[in-house]
Amino acid sequence: MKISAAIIVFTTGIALSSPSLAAASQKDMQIAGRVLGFVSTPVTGDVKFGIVYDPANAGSNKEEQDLVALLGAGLKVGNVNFIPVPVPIDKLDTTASDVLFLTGGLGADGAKVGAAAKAKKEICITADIAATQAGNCALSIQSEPKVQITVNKAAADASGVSFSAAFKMMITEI
Amino acid sequence: MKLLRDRLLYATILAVAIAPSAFAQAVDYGQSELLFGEPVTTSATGSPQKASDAPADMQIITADDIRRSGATTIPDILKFVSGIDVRTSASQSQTVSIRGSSQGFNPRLLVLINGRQVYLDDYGYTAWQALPVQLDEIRQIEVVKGPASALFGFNAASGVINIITYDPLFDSTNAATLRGGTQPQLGGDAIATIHPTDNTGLRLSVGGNQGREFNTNSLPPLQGPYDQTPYSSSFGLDGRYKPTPNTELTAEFTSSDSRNIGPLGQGDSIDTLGYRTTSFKFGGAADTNLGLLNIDAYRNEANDSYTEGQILSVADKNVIYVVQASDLFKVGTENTIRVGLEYRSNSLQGDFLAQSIGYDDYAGSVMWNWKLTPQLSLTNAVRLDYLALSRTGSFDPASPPAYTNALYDNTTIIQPSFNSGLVYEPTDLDTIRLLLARGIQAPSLIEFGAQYRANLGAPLPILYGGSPNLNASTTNNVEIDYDRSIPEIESTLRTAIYYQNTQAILSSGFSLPISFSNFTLYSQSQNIGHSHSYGGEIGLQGYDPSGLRWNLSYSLVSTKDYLTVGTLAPTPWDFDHATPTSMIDFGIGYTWDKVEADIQGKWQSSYVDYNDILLVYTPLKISDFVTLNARVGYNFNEHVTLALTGQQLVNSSIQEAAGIPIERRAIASLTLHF
Repeated sequence: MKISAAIIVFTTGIALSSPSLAAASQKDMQIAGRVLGFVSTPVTGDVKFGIVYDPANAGSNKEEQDLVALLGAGLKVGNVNFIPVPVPIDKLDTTASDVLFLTGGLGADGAKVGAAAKAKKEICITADIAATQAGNCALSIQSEPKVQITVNKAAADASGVSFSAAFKMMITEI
Repeated sequence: MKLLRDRLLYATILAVAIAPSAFAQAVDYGQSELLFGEPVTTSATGSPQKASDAPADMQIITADDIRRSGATTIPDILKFVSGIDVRTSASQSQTVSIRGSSQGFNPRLLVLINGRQVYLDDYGYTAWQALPVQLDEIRQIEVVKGPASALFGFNAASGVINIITYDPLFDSTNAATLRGGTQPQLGGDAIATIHPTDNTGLRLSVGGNQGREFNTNSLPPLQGPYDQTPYSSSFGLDGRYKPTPNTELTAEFTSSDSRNIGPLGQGDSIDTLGYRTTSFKFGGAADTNLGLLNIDAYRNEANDSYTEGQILSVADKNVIYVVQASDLFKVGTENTIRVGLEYRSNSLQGDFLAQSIGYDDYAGSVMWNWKLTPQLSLTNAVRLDYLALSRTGSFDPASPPAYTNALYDNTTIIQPSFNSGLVYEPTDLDTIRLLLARGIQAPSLIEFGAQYRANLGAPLPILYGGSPNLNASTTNNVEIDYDRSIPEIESTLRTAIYYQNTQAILSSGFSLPISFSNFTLYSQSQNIGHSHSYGGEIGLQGYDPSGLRWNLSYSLVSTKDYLTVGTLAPTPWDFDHATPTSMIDFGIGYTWDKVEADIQGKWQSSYVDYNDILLVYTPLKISDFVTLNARVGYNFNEHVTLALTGQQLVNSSIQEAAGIPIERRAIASLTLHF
């Protein structure tokens, strides 16, 4: 384990060019939709896409607004049709959704999303890999320059979300 | 042994049939490619991976690449891949080699369709014209450069080509193509997929080609007449059934029938070669708490015939049974393990043998992929093969007296193979691979067991003999690869540098000098020494959203032989000079609305090939040449495409290998998608 930790420090030190925070794009949404086809019980049809944001956080607020505009009345990707549902972070418990999407930069407040995903047994998706590394969101996606998917196994297990074995071989689990 | 083999096979088929809950979910190549934006593969480790993550120098040829090539054969597609040498000896006779040590009927390249071996074990080669697959049903062709025996076993010594077809469960492939062209060619194929229920898919495919052979006037008339009407046809049935979301059963049947002229081995004369093949395959897979369980069982039968004018006419029947089982699972979040077992029974009966030769092979393998960090992974795979030989029938009086059936039956070969790969992605744009591998080439059944007394017009009969004392040939490979995405020009740079040494090179008696024994001319299979190669590849490939695509690559290989034959009499073995040192592949294409136009070219440096003219191996210098193919396609709508392809456009004919000159060709095709 010590060897792994040393290598992580070394390699991530070199890999500083990777963006740690990025706003979700249309390509991210397409990846999010397709990922749901690899969940052990695939999600299909109309999906309430709960965009979790902090109204007091300008970056988060902007990402939420951009996503709502992007998804419009619905965005069909693969076998799902994402219906955007804005979810202010203080209304997580009272807003109905099928999938949670965590906007970036919520920091410690992201833990509330992790708790909500666990309580609701819903998958949480984000473009903010730090949220997944912190265990606040089960799955993070990066679409540029190449597609990278990271799953926090503990967070996914806590949310009752599991993936096909083949999918897990192709992504990074932490 | 036959009883044991049959019981094992039938027990496996029965297990697959009655216990669906025990078996698993296959890889959905289509959805995975859409998700990751690049092809996925299982040909590097047995585990599904993004192609860019694979611990192997791998190139994937997509269905779009295949369509835009305008090619009518798989070797014609591979011809323009960096590091691949395709030798065309006649219109339907092609040999594919990876990274040098090229030879006719290359035995060092394992070819599979959906993981099922289509490599023929009788002589150790691939009869490309007899492959039971239509180009329109291929999702991708996975090319692994370098040894891959730790996953695939014997004969993945210099590389692997795994042809992956569309999955009838997930993909609705319905198409029909009609082709016609000069020489005059006529061909076509039809593919239909049906889904009787939501969890069942069935794909049928049928196709064939025929045409006039290229001009054979350059061939020795005494060894003719030469067949002038090559043809090939094949049929395939592929069924998949998902009894539960986590389980999948598969059943596959194929058959092919072909006839063409070509050499029957390195330096051999041009013969008429006929092939009739059939295969049955059953499999199951299940995503369970124990991991991804897979089991496959298949039977291949190849009935081959070889005719050399009035001089020689022989036939053989090669049957293999294979049972493969594996479990693929993760330990924690960092480790992926694959444990595999394989049983293989291989038998050959035919005119080149007194009665029959065969072997049973038992193998176990383990693969461990350790993802140390998101940027760094280490893969180690090892496999151990235990081969037990068996033989029936009498021996020719000129054979060495020590050769008995008991000696054959007590002969075993035990060989380990391994693949190790360190993959480091320091940034999202860069990938570095350090690779180390040991591949195994088993002696062919003919090399083990030939026993053929021939009267080929010589004053005395000639005995071509096999040997039980052959060693497997081994290939060690050390390699460093570096790939970089260059988003500024929508391109990817790929580079590789490698060193390879091949020990105990194998040759049948048919390609060796003839000696004198007991009033008979005699030639016996042997290990003929070793060779070293070093080389590299550098290539740039790009796709621009505007519709422009291009590729340019250079490959270099230099080989040095240390052979133990050929000092007193000529042989066709001379890897030093028989490998083209340099190759440049290039292509450019553009899609504009309904039109797509592509040009592919290759320059290859000179090399020496060999002709067998009345039992004398005669070197033939193949001058450096440029070959150029072009295709223009017009999509009338999403259902109808008309295309015109020109092949070998630079000259009216060129000599690409021993055999006959390759002629310029034009082909028109009409494809319907429904």
